[in-house]
Amino acid sequence: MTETVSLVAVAAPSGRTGVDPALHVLTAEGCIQCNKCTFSCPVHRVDVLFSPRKVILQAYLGGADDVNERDLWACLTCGECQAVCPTQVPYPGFIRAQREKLRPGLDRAAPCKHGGFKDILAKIMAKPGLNQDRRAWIGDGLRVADKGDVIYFTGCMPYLDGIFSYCDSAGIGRAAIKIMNAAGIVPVVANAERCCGHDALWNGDRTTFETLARANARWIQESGAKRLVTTCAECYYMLKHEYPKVAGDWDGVEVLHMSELIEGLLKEGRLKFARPVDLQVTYQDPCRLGRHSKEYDAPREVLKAIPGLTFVEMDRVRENSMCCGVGAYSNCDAATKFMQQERLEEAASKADHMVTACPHCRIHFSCYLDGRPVDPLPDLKIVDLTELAAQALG
Amino acid sequence: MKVDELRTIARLLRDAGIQCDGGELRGYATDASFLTLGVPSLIAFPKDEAECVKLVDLAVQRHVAIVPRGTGSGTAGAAVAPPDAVLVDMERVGACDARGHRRGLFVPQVVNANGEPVDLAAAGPEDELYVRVGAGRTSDETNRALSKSGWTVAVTPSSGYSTFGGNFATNARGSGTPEYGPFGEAVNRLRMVVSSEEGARVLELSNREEIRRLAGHHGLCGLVTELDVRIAPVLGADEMHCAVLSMDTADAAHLGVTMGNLMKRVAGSCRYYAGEFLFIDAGIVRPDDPIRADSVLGGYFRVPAGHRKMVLLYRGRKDRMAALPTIAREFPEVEYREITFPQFRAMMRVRTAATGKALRRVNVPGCEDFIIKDPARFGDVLTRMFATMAGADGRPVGHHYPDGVEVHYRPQAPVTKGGIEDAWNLNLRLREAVLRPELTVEDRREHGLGLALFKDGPASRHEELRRLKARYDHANVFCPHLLDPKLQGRFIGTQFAL
Amino acid sequence: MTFEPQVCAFACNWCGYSAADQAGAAKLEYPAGVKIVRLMCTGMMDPYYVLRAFEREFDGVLIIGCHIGSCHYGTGNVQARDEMARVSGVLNALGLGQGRLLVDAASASEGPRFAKLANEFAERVRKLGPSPLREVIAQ
Repeated sequence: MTETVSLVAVAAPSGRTGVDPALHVLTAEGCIQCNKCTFSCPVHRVDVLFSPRKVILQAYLGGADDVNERDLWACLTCGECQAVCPTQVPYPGFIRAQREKLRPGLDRAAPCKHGGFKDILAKIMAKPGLNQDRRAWIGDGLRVADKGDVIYFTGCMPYLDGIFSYCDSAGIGRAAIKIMNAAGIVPVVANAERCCGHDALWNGDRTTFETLARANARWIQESGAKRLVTTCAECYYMLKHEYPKVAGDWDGVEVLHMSELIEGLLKEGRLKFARPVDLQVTYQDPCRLGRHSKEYDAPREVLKAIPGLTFVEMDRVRENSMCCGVGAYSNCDAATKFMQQERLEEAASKADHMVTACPHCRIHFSCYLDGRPVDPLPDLKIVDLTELAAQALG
Repeated sequence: MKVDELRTIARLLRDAGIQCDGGELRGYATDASFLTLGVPSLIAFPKDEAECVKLVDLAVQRHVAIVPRGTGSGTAGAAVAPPDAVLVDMERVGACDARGHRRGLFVPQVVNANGEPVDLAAAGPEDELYVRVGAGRTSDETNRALSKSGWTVAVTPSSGYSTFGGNFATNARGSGTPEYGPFGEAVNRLRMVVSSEEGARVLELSNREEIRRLAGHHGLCGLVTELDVRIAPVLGADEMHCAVLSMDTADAAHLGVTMGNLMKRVAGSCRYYAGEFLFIDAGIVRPDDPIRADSVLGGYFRVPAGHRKMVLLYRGRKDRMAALPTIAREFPEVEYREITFPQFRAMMRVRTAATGKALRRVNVPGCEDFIIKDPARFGDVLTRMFATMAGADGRPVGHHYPDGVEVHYRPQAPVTKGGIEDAWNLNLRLREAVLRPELTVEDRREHGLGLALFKDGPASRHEELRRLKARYDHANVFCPHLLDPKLQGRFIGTQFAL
Repeated sequence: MTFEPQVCAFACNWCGYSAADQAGAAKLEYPAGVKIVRLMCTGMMDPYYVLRAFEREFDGVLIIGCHIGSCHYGTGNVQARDEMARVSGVLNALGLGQGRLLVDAASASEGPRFAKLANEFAERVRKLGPSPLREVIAQ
């Protein structure tokens, strides 16, 4: 038998003969079906049926619209897959685009797993007539301004503590202002601020995202401020990398994560850590600050500068850092709990405190430590980087 | 494979704790060779040597064939399994942590020629050192892990994401081959799971001759699980010499003759780690690519209309390449420039991209590893090549090895039946035009596509492989289809039909 | 301002809603802008419902459950009050404070009380003006 067999002669699912759809997989996005993505995926470790490789393949065989709902929303968009992909298939971007396309037709209109809270909050903040009072959480002894060179972008912070009561997210804000005041900066905290639109964008609600982005970009640009500082990794990623795509490049405005600001102030001598903080800590690279924005160093420099602090790295750090288990609030489920247990155990093996640079990492891990764990709870406390730095001010 | 047998094997694998999958496997139906023998029915993902042992035991006891596969980036076609065989994806082997999680970043274990652990920070540039890695590791991730220490894998093929197991199975060549030889020469020790008539056997080989013979086994002999792979120091700027030689002209023959003679002179007087070339045209990088604006490298990307430009890159030790500037002066039409290692790497990235993936286009393999033994004939080869290629997409690249000039060309086709057929036909015309003994051109055939080695290869090589197989694979479970005369007719080799 | 305030009234099945039913049967008047949503228990109230109501451009949210101590399920109404206290902080920051959210109680037989609560709340909201979230402010 000498029939010559070739890839391209296999019939496609629709019955037409021609080029095999599998070939499309290997070319359209560059995917070579090697499976490294799946083996690095934290969701796959807990749920073996979840495989980025299969989703890409299936998308090109049956059409991307046939991606099932579980696969569409279970992805954390953490980017571990893309970090190891030999051909850099942009998997989180692919999922984001699919969500945008498919969401209008899905039953689940509000993907936010916390009762739709974050989702509806963003939609409310997209309303033009909104007239917020965003300073109630600030408290006494801290100075903020209506106009200035530095804007402190607070994001959802005024709203988080009402719902995620096991965390003190406003405490991060107070610490940030304290640090800035100590360096002679009186930041602008503006009522015109809206949600940065992170969840809206990553969950496929482009309309809400663009409304928020344009509204924010307008008032920030018109304010005349030169620096835009945030304590949230998600806001940072959005302001720095996504806003320019929608609202044009920032003109004379520098976007900084709080860790970058502190690092700079320390270098310039405008800030000093006078008080030792006697703790052993490890650091959790947030997905949006780390893999998505490539900022791995500034938070580490800040930690190293705090006197009395013992800093021990985990095994999986920087671009290998493991996600906190929830991406854009749209996929918290049983699998999440196992992921959180895994990561917290790793942290507890290195230190008794885990430092986070994103309020959402802290909320998610704290939720786990506060709730019903799947295994004996690791003996670990979660602390935010900015709050830790404020403690060292003396 | 019959459905019940398949289910039984899958169940037995799962009972043994080995991850496997029997679902949608169409993506595994081929590798970079375009050959397919059908969609595999079952794939196993062992994570370490112990799981490989259980896998081979199972294969022997149930008389099931297994086909190992790395990243699947090879053009030889040996990573393609017939439907009644179990495909074994080796990428996790030796590359996972205790949880079975495959991670890109790892701490490399460095050993000397005796296998004793060595502190890389204390090592000198002349030391003969190896990195002990799992077969599932790739050159890219190993180089990343070593880069802070200033070392690199000695022999790295153009696709840095192929696994070491795969590099050994194909005896890959690449950057570093002029100094260190093909991949098989750069392995000091390896561990392999082979078969006896009862089940699996684990071998640890450290006899270099034996290892050399096994290199290029294409999966016929067993599952390689761990290797000691040679590493080389990344020399500092004062010790390392990187140079770029370029020429552009409207006359392809003249280009080939000049550059060919240049390469012949270089081979005679210099020793280098890497000699790589590519052809640059206006569209090789995007209009907004920052390299165009680079003050040093930008000039190479400006090509007068109607001209062809060839860029030849060398990297090696300064003392061994001392003659290069003098040789370059003998060829006034060739522009010679010394560059830094980062600039060398930037040009290599352009070269890799030129041969590699382009979105929504497929590279149709066909002209792989044509070796021109006498570089002085390069002019004739180029003339015929360009005449045949006229108007087609894709750019030839190649290596300057001590044994000759090796050229690769893969036309790029839109992903349509017609597009791919055209590309195939172009390949056939090229082979006809260029693969001629009077031009001293040979097809190395080790990576020849569609299992050319097994379909059209020399009988002596088949004999060699049979002997190797008889020695290591007593149960005949590893890729038996490759040497089965009844199946060899199904391989594409140099023929193709849609 | 003479706009017609739109109020979303969440009422529990056992008390609040039955009271509303009774008010309707007795033809006691309360504003047409008060739209009633029946829940089994106000303990079901989630911040999402309140926020969703405002996002849908209601001007006020009224929650009528059982009197404390009389909840059909025991302490559902207490949970509701705690939850709504937390939500108030969110609403204040959103500029939707000043009393656009009210939690109160009316037992099943208190039809007149329901009507009174509805009327008074609607009047309060009328004085506060239309919700700033309204895309088009009715004059």
